[in-house]
Amino acid sequence: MVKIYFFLFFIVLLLTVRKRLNIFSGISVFLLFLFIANPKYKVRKPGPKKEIAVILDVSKSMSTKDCEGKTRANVAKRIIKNQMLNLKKYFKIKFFVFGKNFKEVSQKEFFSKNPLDNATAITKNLNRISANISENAVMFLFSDGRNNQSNESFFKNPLVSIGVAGQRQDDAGIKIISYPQDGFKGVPFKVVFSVRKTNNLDKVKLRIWEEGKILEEKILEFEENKKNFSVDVTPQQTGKNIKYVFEILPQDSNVSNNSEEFSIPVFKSNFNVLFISGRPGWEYRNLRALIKANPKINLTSFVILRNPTDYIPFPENQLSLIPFPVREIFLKDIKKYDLVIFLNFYYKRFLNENYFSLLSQHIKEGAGLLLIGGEQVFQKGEYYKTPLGGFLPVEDRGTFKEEKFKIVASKTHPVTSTISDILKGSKSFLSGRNEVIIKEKCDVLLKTQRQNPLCLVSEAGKGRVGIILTNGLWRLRFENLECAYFYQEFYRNLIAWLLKSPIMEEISISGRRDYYSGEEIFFTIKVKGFENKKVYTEIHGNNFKEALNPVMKEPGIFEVRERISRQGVFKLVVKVFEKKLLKAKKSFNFKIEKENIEKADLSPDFDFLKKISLETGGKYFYWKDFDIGEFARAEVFAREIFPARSPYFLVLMILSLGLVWLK
Amino acid sequence: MKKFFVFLFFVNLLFAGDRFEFVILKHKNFYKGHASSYRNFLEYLNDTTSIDPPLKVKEIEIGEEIFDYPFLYLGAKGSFPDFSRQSLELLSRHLNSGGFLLIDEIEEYRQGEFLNSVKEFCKKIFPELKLEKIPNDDVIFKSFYLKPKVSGRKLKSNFLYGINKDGRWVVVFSPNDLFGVWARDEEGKFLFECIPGGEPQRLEGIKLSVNLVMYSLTGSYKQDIIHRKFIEMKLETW
Repeated sequence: MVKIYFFLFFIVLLLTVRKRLNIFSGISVFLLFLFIANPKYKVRKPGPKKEIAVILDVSKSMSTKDCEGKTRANVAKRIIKNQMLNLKKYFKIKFFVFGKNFKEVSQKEFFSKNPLDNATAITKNLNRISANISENAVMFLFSDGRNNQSNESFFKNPLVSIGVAGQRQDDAGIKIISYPQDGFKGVPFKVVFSVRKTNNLDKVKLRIWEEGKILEEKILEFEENKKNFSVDVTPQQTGKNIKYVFEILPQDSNVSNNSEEFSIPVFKSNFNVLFISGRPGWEYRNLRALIKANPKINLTSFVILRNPTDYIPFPENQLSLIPFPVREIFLKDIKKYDLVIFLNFYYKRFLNENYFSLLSQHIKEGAGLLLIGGEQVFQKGEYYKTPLGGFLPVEDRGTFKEEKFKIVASKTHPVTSTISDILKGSKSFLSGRNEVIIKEKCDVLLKTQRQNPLCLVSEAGKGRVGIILTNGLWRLRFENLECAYFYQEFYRNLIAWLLKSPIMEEISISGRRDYYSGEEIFFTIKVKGFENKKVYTEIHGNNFKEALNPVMKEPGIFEVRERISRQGVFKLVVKVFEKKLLKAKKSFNFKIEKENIEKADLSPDFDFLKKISLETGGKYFYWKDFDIGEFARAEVFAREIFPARSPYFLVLMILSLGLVWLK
Repeated sequence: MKKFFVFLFFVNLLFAGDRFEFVILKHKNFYKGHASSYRNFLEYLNDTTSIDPPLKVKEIEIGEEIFDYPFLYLGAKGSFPDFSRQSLELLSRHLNSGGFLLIDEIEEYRQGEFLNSVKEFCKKIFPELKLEKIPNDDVIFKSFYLKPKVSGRKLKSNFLYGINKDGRWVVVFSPNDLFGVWARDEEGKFLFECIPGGEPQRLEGIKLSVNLVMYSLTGSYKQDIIHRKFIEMKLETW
C-alpha cells in the first residue's frame, strides 16, 4: 500500500514539475506527503474506571497495638486514606468490612468502623464479597491474616493482600479456668488456668499480682499436650474484693491477651483477740482454753487477779502480777484486735468510760465485741453509759439473779442452728443470770426455758456485738460429752460470727463469674450442717428461669452444671429448706458473653495471606512495603492520534489533488 | 420445809456464775485437817485476791454432784482411801472434762506409802499417764506468787507431783500437809509448827496454796508472752 502511495506521490510530483510549479500543486504534493508519511502524536488520557474492593478486617485482633504503637486497623485505614485521591481518580471503589460476617459500607462508615468482632472468617467473607463485585475487580484486603472461622478459599477475583501487624508472629495467651469463691490471708488457694502458645515457646514466666503488687513469679514449663496449669496463691491482703491478675511474660508480639484477672473476698486467717476477765473464774478458764486451742487466734488475755482494795502481805517483786496496761490497750493497741471480750469486767475500778471511745469507733469499723456478764457487771448501766452504749442491743441496768435455769438455743441463727438440738436432753441447770433491758432489734441465740434472753447479738455499724447474760455456761462442759460439745461449738461459732468468718455462712458458692455462650457453667455449693435439709438451685436471668439439679459429691458439697446458649447477666440462686421452711438463701451473679475466640490468639498469619493471594494470581505486601499508587498508575492509558488519517485531512487532500488535475 | 428453803438459798448462792468454791471430797478415812485451815485460806483469798470465794467450805462425797465443782480437794491421813469403781469413773470424767484435783497428804503414815497409794489411784483414773514430779519452773509456781518453794506443815519432799493431761495438770499431789500451814487456834495463832523450816516455810506454804488455786482457775495464763517479760524483770530484782 505504501508503495502505491509512493508511486502516486512521484507521479504527482513529475506532473507538477512538468507543468509548472504553482501554489496548488505544491500544497497537493505536501498533503500527499503527509498522508504517506502518516505522522502521529500521543495524547495521555485515563482509561475507563475499573472496580476494586477495599476490604478491611475489623475483628478484635485488629485492635492489637503492634504497628509502631498504633493499632493494626488504624494503620490500614491510614494507608487507604493517604491513597484516597488516587484511588478515586482511577477506580470505582467498593468498601467492605468483615469479621465473622462481611458488610458493604460507605466510605464514612468504613473509616469509622472499630475492630470489635469476636471472630475472623477471612476466606468465607472474601468468597461472599467476590460475588458482590464485578468479575475483573481486584480485591484489596487489609488484614492480619488471623483466620479463625473459615476454611473456604474459592473466589474468582484477584486478591491483593496487605499484612497489617507487627513483624513477629508469636503469641501466647492465658485463660483462668477456676478459682475459689473466697480466700484466707496466708492460706494458699488453688487457681487452675490454661496457657496457649503459637510458637515454639518452651516456657513462660507467670507473674501473679495482688491489688497491683507482685505476689509471686514462677516459670511454667510446657510439656507435650500440657495446656492446663495450677498454682497455689497465698493471699497477703484482706478485703471484700481483692483483685488477682495472672500475667504471662513470654515477650510475645501481643500482650493484650497475656493476662486475666479475678476478684474474690479474702478474709483474715489469723485473728487477734483481746480477752479481759474481771476475776479468775471457771468461765474464764474454759473459754480461754478454748480460744487458745484455736491456732488461728492470737490471744491476748488479762485477768484481774487482785482488786485495788486487796492487800498482799508480800513484797511486790514476789508477785507475778503485772500492771494492767490500760493506756496501752485502750488508747494505743485496741485497733489491733479483731475481737474484744469482756468477761464479768467491772471496768470502773481501772478506767473511765472515755477509754472506750476508740474501741467504739473500731467496732463500728468492723471489729467484734463480746460482753459476758457476771455478778460484777450489767447492773447500773455501766457499759450503756460508755461510747459502746450506742450500739449495744441491751441497756445493762438490772440485777444479777442467782437462780438456776436451763437453756434453749435458737434453731435459726447460724451460730446455734446446727447445735440447737443437743441441749434437748440436758438435765443440768446453769446458774447466775443478768437481767437487762432489751433495747433494740437483735437476735436471741440463747434463752432460758422461761424465755429470758441469755445471749443476744446484733450488728454495730460494720462490726458485730454479742452479749451473754451469764458467766455460768462453763457448767455445760461438765454435764456430758454432748453438752461439752455444745459449749465448745457455741463459743467457736459465736466468735467466728463476731469475726465475720465465712465458716459461719450457711451456704457458700464458688465458681467463675464469666462464661461464654454455650460453655458449661459449673458451681460448687457448700451447705453448712446439711443433714435433713433440701437444697434447691435455680438460674435466673432476663426473662429466663431454670431449675437445676444439684448433685451431692460429698456430705454437704453439691455441684451444678448446665449449658446456657443465651447471653446476659444471670444469677444462681441456692435455697436450703429444712422441714419445708426456708432455712437459708444465697445467690451468685455471673455473666454469659458471646465467645471471643479473637482473644485466644492475636498473632498475625502473613503466610496465610500470601497463600490465598498467590492462589488468585494476586500479590501479598507487608504494610510497610505497600503503595496503592502503583496500581493506580497501571490503570492510566495513552491515546495515539494520526492527523493524516482524519476525514478532514483526506477531504482537503482530495480537493487539492482534484484542483491540480483540473488545471 | 423451812430447812428445804434454807438449803435452796445456800445452793443458789454458792452455785451462781463461775465463782471458785473450795470443795472437800469426803471419804471413809480421815479426809480433812484442822477445820480452821480451809476457812483461813478462803479468808486470805478474799483479802488478797479478786477470787473472792464464798467462805463456806463444801464437803461432798463423790457422786454426780462433783460436776458442779471444778476444784476438788482430797485430803487423807494415814492411808489413801479406797474408792469404788464407780467413784473412780466419776472422778475420771470430772478431770477429763476440765476439773482439777488437789491431793494433800495431811499427815504421813509411813515413808513413801502414801505416795505409792496416790500413784495407784492415779493409774486407775488415768491408766495411760504417770504421776510425775512437777518442775519447779512450771507455771504453777508463777500463777500468783513468784517461785514459791514447795512447802507444807511437814516438809518431806521438795516436789509437787502431778498428772499432766494435754499440757494441763489435772491432779496435783502435795506430800507435805500443805493446808496444815493455815490452821489457827481460837486466838488466831498458828496451830502447828512448820517442820523443819519454821515460819519461812509456812509463808512458802501460804504462797503455794494460793498459786494452786489460781492455777486451777487461770491455767497457763501466766505463760502468755505478755507476762513473761514482766516476770523475768521481777526475777532479776531477786
